[in-house]
Amino acid sequence: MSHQKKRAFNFKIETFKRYGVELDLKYAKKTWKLLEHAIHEIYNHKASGLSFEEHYRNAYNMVLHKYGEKLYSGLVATMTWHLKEISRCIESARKWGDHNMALQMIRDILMFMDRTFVPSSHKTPVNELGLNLWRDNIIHSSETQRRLLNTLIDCVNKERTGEFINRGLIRNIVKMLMDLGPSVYQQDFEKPFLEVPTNFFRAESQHT
Amino acid sequence: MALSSSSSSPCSSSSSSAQQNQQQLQQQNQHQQSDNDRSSGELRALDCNLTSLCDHIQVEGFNSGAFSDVVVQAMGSTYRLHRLILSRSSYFRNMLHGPWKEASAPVVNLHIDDDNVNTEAIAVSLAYLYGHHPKLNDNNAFRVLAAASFLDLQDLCAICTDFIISELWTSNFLAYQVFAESQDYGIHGERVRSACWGYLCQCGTMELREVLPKLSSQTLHALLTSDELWVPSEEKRFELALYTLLAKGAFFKVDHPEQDNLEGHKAAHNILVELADCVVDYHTGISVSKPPHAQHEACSQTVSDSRYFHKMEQPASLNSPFTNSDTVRTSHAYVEMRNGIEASRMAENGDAMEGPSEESSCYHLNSSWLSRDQSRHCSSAPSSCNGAMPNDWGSCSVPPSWGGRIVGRRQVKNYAKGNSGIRGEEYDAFINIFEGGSLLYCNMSFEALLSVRKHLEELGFPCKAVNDGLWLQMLLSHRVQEIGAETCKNCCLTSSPCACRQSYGFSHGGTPTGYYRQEHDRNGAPGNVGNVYLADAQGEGNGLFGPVRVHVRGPIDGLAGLGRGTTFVPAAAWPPTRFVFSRVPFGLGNRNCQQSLAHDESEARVDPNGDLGDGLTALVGLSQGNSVIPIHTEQTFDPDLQNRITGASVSVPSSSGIPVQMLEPQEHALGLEWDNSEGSSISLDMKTPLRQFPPFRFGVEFEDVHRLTDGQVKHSPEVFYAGSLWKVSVQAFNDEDPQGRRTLGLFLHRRKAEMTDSVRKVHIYVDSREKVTARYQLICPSKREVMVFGSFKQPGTLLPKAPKGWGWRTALLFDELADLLQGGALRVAAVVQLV
Repeated sequence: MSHQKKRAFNFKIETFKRYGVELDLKYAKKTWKLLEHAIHEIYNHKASGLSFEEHYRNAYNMVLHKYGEKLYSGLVATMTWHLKEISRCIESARKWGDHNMALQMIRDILMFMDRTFVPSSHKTPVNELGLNLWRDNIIHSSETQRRLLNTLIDCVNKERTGEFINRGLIRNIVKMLMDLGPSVYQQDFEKPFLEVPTNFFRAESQHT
Repeated sequence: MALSSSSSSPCSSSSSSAQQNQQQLQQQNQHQQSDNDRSSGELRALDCNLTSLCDHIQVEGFNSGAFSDVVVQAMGSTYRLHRLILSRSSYFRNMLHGPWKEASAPVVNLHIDDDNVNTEAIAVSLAYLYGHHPKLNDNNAFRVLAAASFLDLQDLCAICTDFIISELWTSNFLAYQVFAESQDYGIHGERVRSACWGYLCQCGTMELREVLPKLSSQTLHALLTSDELWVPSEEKRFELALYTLLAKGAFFKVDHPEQDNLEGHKAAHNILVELADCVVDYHTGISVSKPPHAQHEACSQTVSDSRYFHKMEQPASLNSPFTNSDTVRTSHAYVEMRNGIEASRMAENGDAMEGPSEESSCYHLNSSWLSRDQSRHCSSAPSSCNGAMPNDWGSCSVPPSWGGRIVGRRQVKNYAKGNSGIRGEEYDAFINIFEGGSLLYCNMSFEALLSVRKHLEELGFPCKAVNDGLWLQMLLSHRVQEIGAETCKNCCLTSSPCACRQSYGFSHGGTPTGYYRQEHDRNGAPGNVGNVYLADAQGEGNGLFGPVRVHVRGPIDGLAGLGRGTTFVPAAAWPPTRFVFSRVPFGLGNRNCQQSLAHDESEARVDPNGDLGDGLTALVGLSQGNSVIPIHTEQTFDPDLQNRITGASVSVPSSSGIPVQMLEPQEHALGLEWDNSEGSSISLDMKTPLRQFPPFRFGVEFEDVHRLTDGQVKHSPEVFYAGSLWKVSVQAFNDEDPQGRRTLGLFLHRRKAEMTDSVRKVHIYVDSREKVTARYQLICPSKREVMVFGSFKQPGTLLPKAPKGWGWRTALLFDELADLLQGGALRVAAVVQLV
């Protein structure tokens, strides 16, 4: 019995002392810091100075040496953080373009992860992930969702009553909702939107 | 009349329209023909044009760099290239197209720090973009794969993996295995990995045996416990695992000095001395225990193996710091294993060890892959993983902390770790292999089990699984015989769902009787029936637990002594037998106590025979009582008759069957109840269904299968399992494949075991059933793929009676045999489980 106890104890010590893994982990962390910084830069519009070669290589090395999981979860966290930031300011429609641009760039440097790690571990590809995060953090955030819908419907009503509205903005927003997938468009906009004119025209018809 | 005319007019109109259609079609055809003529001519011109374009791009573009608009520098070489061509690779496309620094730069520097990539590989990949066909060989294939993977050239990756898989041999196996295992190259790496796995499963027992100790413990665990590993028997599997363990331990000890080349020789000397000491130790340990023979063998094996590895290692250790020659590559799987040998030694020998602490010396810190310069890449060693080349990713650097002599060596006998010098993780893996229920000890012969137990005990393993194996073996033999006795011989169902018995009960005097009698008259000569009965009676009478002897507890209690209390179900928990056996025919029944039955049997046999002229009715009359299983009904039925009645509807023998089989279940319990990972969860009691017992694995080899002529059959030798003899056969067909290709069928055969000279072989018993239901897999591992036929998710297949087998008539195509054979032989691993 005492032998067995002792052995179990020893195992623990040994597993902690595995060198290479620790070392790898250190480099993985360092690499991830670099990539994280790059993502921040991309969101802050400082991407033109970034080297594609360097960041692609960093991401490649992380995945190659089996830190794909770390890279992926880090990406999700960083992107979510940025989107939460964005959701605080008002002009989401303009930020949408920025997000798309950033997403494109992030997808480029993480291409190798998309190619290898994502399919083998059944994750969502980077592009789709970015759209989903945008949807969950911006469109479906409690403040934005109602406001967005109200604004849209308001605008439509205004135009029906003859006022001038920013059509370009509306077009962009609707396009964004479409880009996020037909289900988003239908649930968040189409259904309530179709209810409103029914009321509107019913009211109109009763007036006359 | 009106009706007919009206009906005729559309007819004629339709026929005329059909004619028109035909004409149109002909015209179209003519058009098409002319189109074809023209297009083929055009194509020829186009081909010409394309070829000249290709030539132009290759020669002018790549070779001489004319009109270059971008310069690529990689691994010390400079290439004058073209954006348009580079954008074929999405790596370059993204780089040159996006808002990146490189997008407008005239010179692009690639700092590729994947150690598998070298200058040549980059050159090959870039040339591929310009239409050059890659020239691959054993040394550059995986490098080009790595480069192509970096540059996101999926097609080139596929070409490389195809090449690697087709050129995978024992000589380069280890290199590719490490390559694929230690890095993640996506689906291409996965393909190489699975090819390695298939090859390992096919040849691990024979050709690749020497490689096994150099594999990672995860791979070893997966391999040694896998059904897909081709190994002739469970005993051989154990031997293989033991060999690997010992070789690995020896390997550690000897491999050690390689790390610090300064003290290399001294250390090596020390180790050898110590190894010798160790062996002496070993022997003293043995001389205490009784028969030292097997042990001795193991020891000498350790020593010889260690020498072997030492020799093998020597050149590598000499070369590695100075040259990058490819010989280094052979050693690079050791990397992981070298790690922490000290740790383990310290840990288990514990008390006294001196020398530098592990934390103090890390000689790998001097290079970081982030900051390494290009020159390093140019001269990079053949593999990322060889120990001589510090690589921060490869987790292969080990501090040179050797130098302490271990004092507390007396402990050695206590642990396998102590004996074999294996560190914790490895040891865990082997504990799992030997004790995790994945080696199916219950299918080993008793003699083999004894020797296995001896080996394991001396290595310090707890032997729990071996003891459980013994229990399972006993229980299995008991259950099989029980079920054999209980099974209705007519329909091959066990008594409870058996419909035949009921039909007898209801049928006496009715029409079914006539039917049965007719069948019977045609088939069953009385003598024949008698013989069958005779065989059965003998078999069951001689079995270890003849159904008559209910006193199973005695022997089991005796066995429990062997178990030393490690078995999880105490012997006392065994319930008494469920079944009341009555071998005594009704006519004679109740006359005697069961003990005397053996003597009565001769008479019992005679009696029904006498009645047989009358056929079934008499017997049906006898067997009306449903409460006790009327065993004598089985005596009267010729097995052939049973086949007639049930066989047609239930089973299709291999000679006349459909290619892919599998029957409907008699019972709908699906799924794999027995599981590798929780082998110890098999409940040990008399009601344990057969399908909860571990399956039986064996491997067979067929030489020269590609020379089989159509219809020709090859049989493997038979092996014993659960009261039956099993074998696999292959047969060549030319009429089974819908596309007319020649196919090779794979079949499993089962027949009742025969009690030949059974005095010594205690474990031989007979499953008296003519047909048994089993689920099984036939597995052909190869580097192309591991082909698995059958599934353990199936409820089971009723295997046809003796000479016939059951299986897949179009299992393999002759065309693909070349990829599947190893040295001209087809290796088939079979996994069988009675249900």
